[in-house]
Amino acid sequence: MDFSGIKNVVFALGRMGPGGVQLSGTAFSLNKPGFIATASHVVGTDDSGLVLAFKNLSSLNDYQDTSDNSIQMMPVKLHALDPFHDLAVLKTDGDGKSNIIIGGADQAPVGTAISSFGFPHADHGRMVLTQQDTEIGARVLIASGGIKAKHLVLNTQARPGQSGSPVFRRSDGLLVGVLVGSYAPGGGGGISLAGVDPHTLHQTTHAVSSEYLSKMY
Amino acid sequence: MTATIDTLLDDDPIKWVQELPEYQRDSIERLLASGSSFDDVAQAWISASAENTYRFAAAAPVGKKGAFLENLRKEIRAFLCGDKKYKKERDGLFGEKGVARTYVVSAMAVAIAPHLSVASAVISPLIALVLASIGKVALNAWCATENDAQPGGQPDAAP
Repeated sequence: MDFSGIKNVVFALGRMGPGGVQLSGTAFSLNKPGFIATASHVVGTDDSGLVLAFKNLSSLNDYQDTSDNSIQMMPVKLHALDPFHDLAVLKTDGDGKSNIIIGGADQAPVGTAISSFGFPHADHGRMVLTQQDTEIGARVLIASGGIKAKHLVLNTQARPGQSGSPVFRRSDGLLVGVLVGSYAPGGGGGISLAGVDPHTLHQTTHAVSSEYLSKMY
Repeated sequence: MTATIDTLLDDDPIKWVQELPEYQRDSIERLLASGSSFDDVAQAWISASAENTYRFAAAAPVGKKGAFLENLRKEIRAFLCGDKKYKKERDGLFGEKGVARTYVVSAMAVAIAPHLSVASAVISPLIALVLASIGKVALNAWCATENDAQPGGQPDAAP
């Protein structure tokens, strides 16, 4: 699958504040004009000041200048929120859309080659659109608020900023998941070494099945 | 003026849930079927978080969840029971005849959201669940009960 056009589909999500834009995660265009998807915990409950942030790349192969802090922005508002499946759909005033086809975990059996695109280390202000290729290691049910949802285990390590990243089946580009975090006993957060929870330093990344997006917009 | 909302409240409370969008209704109905109350489900909606999963957002979520549901209940009561700050929206809503539940929930969410610094999409299902939890009771009776339960919580005007 050719992902050369991914720069027009995947964006950083941030929030305008007194000191500028603070990045909060990754978001991507859906297949209807103006609709954007991300993980609900990236948005929280307040959409004030929420923006899509992007740089003028000609291709994912460009050398992305890490010293260039200039960004372009587009305001977004919350359209739909599903905290049980950790998904949110946002809406811009623009009419941009992607040609993403929404599938789900059912179409990604163990061993399926996948590609995800997001902004690792965005918590440090780093804004580098990054491709990660790996395979599905397992399919799991994870409960949230009493609702069990289908998730994919990605055999790769993820970092803060990648929540909301789209996960595509590499053979044909079908959207099969949305990255939401990594396995951590009790949800992690109990230990922090230089700002890093050692419970998250492994290759068991969780992505919720993208099938739950289809009824949200 | 409360006839509209009284008519809706007099019906089966589950109808508040049944008229939510499908992606919200499915999860809520599953929790209700498992024995959860409307209040339990509202709390689950607020506190939902995938078990044993460390979230990879780059910033702490915006919005406080601690007393969120209690604060929302207070705002719903303020809206329905005559608080001055909601007079315009309440008069507009109660002045219409035959409004649908979806319209009531949507109008209340849009009116209340700024007072809680949240997006209206966040609280729409919660408003439906709180209205369902009121049960079959006339609005004036519910407001009176709430006032008895909260000393000093008198409305500024009769609904």
